[in-house]
Amino acid sequence: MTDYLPPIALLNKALSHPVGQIDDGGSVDIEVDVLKQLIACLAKAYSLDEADYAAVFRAGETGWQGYTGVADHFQRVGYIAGAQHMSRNFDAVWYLQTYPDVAQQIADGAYSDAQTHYRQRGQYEWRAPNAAAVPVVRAWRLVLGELAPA
Amino acid sequence: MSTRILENAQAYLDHGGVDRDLITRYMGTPIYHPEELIDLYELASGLDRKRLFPLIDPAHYAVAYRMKPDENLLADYLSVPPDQRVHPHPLVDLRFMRHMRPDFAQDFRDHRDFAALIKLNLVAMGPYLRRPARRGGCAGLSGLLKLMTGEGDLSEVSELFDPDQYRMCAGFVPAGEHAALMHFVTRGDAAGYAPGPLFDPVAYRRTYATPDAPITHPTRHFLWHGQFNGFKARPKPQRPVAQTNAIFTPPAEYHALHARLMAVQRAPADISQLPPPGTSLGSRTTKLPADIDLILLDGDNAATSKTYAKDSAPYVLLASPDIVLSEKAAERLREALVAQPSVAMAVPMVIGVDGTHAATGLRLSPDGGMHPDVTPQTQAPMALMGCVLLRRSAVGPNLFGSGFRTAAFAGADLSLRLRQDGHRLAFFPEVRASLTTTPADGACGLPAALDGAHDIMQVLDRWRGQIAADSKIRVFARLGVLWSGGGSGLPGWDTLWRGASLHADHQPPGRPGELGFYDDRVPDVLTAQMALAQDHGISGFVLDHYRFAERSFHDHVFRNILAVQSAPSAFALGWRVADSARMAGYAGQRARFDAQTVAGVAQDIRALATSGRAITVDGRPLFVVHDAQFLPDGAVVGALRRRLADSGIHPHILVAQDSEGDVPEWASGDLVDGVLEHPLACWAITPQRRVQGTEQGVPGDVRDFSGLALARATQRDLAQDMVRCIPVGHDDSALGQSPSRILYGATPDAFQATLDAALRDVDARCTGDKRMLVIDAWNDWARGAYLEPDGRHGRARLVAVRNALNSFTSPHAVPQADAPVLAVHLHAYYPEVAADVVEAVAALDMPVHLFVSTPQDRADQVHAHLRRCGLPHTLHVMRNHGRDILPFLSLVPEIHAQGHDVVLKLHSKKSPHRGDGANWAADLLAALTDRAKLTDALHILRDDPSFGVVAPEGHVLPLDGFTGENRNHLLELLARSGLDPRSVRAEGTFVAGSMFLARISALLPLLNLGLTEQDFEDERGQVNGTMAHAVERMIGVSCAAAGMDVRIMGTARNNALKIAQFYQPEVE
Repeated sequence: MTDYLPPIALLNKALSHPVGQIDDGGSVDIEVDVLKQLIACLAKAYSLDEADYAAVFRAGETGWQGYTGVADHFQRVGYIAGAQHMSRNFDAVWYLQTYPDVAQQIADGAYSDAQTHYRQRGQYEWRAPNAAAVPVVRAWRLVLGELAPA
Repeated sequence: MSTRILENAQAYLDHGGVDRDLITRYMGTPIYHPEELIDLYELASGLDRKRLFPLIDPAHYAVAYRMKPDENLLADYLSVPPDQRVHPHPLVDLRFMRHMRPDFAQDFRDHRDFAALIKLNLVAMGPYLRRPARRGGCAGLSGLLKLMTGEGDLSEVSELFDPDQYRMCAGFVPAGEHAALMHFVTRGDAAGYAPGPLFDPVAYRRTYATPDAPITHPTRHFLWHGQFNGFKARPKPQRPVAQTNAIFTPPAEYHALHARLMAVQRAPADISQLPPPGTSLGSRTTKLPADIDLILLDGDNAATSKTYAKDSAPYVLLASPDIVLSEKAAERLREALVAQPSVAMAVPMVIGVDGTHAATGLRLSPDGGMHPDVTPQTQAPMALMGCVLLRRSAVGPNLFGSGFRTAAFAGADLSLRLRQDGHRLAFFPEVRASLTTTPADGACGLPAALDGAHDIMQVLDRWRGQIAADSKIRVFARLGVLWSGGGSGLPGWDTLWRGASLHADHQPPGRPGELGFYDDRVPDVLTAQMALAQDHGISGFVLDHYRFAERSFHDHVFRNILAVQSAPSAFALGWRVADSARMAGYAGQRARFDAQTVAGVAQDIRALATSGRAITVDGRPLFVVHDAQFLPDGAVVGALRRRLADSGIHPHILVAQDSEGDVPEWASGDLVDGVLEHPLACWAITPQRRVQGTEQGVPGDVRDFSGLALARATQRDLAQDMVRCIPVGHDDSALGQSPSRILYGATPDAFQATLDAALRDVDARCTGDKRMLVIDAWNDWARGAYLEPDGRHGRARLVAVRNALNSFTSPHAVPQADAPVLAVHLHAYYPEVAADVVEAVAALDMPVHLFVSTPQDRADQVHAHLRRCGLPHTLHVMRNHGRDILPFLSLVPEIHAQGHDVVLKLHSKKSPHRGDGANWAADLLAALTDRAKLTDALHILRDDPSFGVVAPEGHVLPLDGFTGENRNHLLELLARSGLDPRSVRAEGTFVAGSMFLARISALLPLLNLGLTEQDFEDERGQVNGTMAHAVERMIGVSCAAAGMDVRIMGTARNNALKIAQFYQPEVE
């Protein structure tokens, strides 16, 4: 969660929109670097499970050179590079109660636990990590799902 | 057309919910506007509608959402949010989607979201569709479209569904795998058909359905809920012990078949060949061979002894004066003595004056001795129809020694003496003698014996244990190998799934009950089978054995037999010659049974013989050769004998008949010791049965079980060395042979009648260890020949074996026709009400015996009431389970065993859920404890065999209209008893209130279901819908199924009037 949202004029300016306003439609040319930084700003609002990230990424062993910490590494390079990540608010109990087929697959031994399922499969199937995240996941699904090729 | 509909149509056009290419092909031009889609839908034919918009199944949708014929279904669908049309297609169910993905619920409120969602293809659209795979989605709309138009295969459908197997199970399924799928989804699942071999709906429903949550669609329930809750797709039924399915009072059909069998068996075929009366030995007109002296038993012991001492021929014919024995018959007896030096006494079959086979009264014990015995029916000593040929050298100079008391026991003492001296006695049923007078006339040789009842009893007492042991007939069952690992050519469990109903009248072989679809590689399975066999009087198994050259096939059961810790059963090997050769790849080559094969078989026989688990005949291990005609000659059997003789083993070899009843020519003489009857011998001469309703085409080759039994019985000239083999049933329709051979009417009671008659035949013909019989088969499920418990009759076939053995060995168990005492079953749940009932019964002032059942915690109270009333009673403390019904079903066999064939069923009724509970019960009770009315009812049952149940007026209802919540249980019970629910529904009678007077045989169809504790729900105060309520409704059905009617106490008019007072038909 964040307490600041930049005025749209600033975004428009940064995107150098040829016509003027984003809501005019059409398409936008954007510097990859600018997009990366925008994504990093999105990732800042993410409740990253830092311990999990550090454990998975194993970078902690050599220190986070050039980064202020685990979160900074994730936001600036890790996320875009496709590093594994989990929310620290992942609710395994809710997850298993909500998705009967997941519980069954874990019972069958296909996955060791809810986290593993979510990491390997659930997140790609637009499953939510907890009850509160359902609307957010849905919003993302409506945005990205429809963009994806059928 | 509203904007909303158009917007929604556009959503599906945008997201691919409709197939634009297909529309282009159909229209010749692409469509751009949603109006076009909706208009097109209106014009399109049924199949095209499915293509245009696959989410809607027009026929289903119109019914589900009550559409008018001319309404545009698509417009209707698009006019409301998707979550108001949750089930637009039999395969699609939004509730299921929401169950799987609760987080998608929001997307069901808007067509645009919904169309986007199904395009993503993340969740199966209905329970019957396959769930998303690891990579890639599930059926989705395009899959549905392909399914609907028949273009796709069934890869998008749950793997439980197998169209071919489903078709064979369900029958009347339209052609095509998609049509089969739709048939299953719309009808088959609700009807309880299995979708394929991976799911067992019957066991599933029985295991997981509860009264609160009945399972209407077992497969759907499993796919929707069960699989996520750890339910098993093929739950193994766990039934501790089925106690109640006794066939003790056989119904009319049993008596009819049994009587016919006995009549056929006893009527001599060659009575014309017997010498005419007047040529009896007493008249001295019969010429006997010169080396036979005739001594007539005239009752004077001293005179007889004197005659014996005077004569000198090497053989002595000891006979009553009224015996007729032809010279030829005497010669045959003499030849037998010449041929067998160890035999000292040869006994012919004696035929009575009326042409029936008279029991000879001789029983030979396993060690070759003979002792006095009684025939169960008459208790007449053996000497009554004495006619024996003796070897003089075995007897010595004096016929009767000093210990000889009366002439009555001539045979007894003589035979004992012979046995003590180490001689054998042999019975030759093929040699016939006849009596010219009936024994009752007193004209036969030893009338004095009948006067001395005291002496008879003394002899019987002395030999009681021996008599029981010697009169025993060993019953074996053929044990097949079921687990075959696929591709082996053995019909196993998988064959069962191919079993299909060939026509309305045909029930394919049943599915296993108690033991489940077991894996016979597991030693515990063998242990369980042996325990079951032991409990029901089957003392051993003849195991199907496959051996060729150095190779052994499917010998895991054999290895288990050798390895298992303790074996209460004995075993013999039944070598399947043709199958063994086929498995070894030598099909059709008769000559390949060489030394290696002989060595292998000999090794197996030796292993079994030395394990001490072999069935022996006179100490020799039994060995059966099936398909002997496949062997080129007797050389293989000869070599086998020689080889085994080297290790000191002399097998008793039986050659099995082929299905024509023939054995190869070489199978005679010293090579084989006997012939095993083919279970279906005489099939060809059994009249064919006409089958009704053969819509499905070939009905198969159908014969009646009883017809076959009678045909076999008419072939009564069975040689002594023929071992009987009795079929349990036969239906090989699942094996896919054409035409299928099917035996109709192979019910447990018909089986019992056949078995009982066969036991009597064995009793009359065989002696010693040869008193044995084989049942075909223990577990030939694929051919519908099995004793093992199944879902239809439980243990009834096993119980039939036990009953047949019991009625054979204990004549006193035969129930009395008119028990002067009325048996009353009272289930005392409410002790204070029970006290009133007991008082009412006491007030009847009739001779009664109370059989009272009660739960543990009320036993003391009930006992106190019973003591006070002073009526003869037996109190049975039982678990509080199955209401009054299960205790009643469990006690009926015992009530019957005590000689009752009518029972008055009462219980301490108090229906807390009914306002008029007390009145209602009082009305029932008043009618049944009214002396005049009850006496009338008893007279009705005694005088008119067409009535099976008598119930009070006002409580006999039509079954139709009173099934309600009990429908599922009732259907299950009907399915188990093989009754047609439609006719039962239309004609069935419901004897309400569960108090009535019944002839026990009318309850037989119900008892035959073998209901156990497991079938009844736990007690939770349910007011309706339990198994007990369903069984209550089965009383009248059972009566009808036994061929009897329900009689109303009083008049039908009053019944109708009073019904309204107590019952309101449910509106279904």
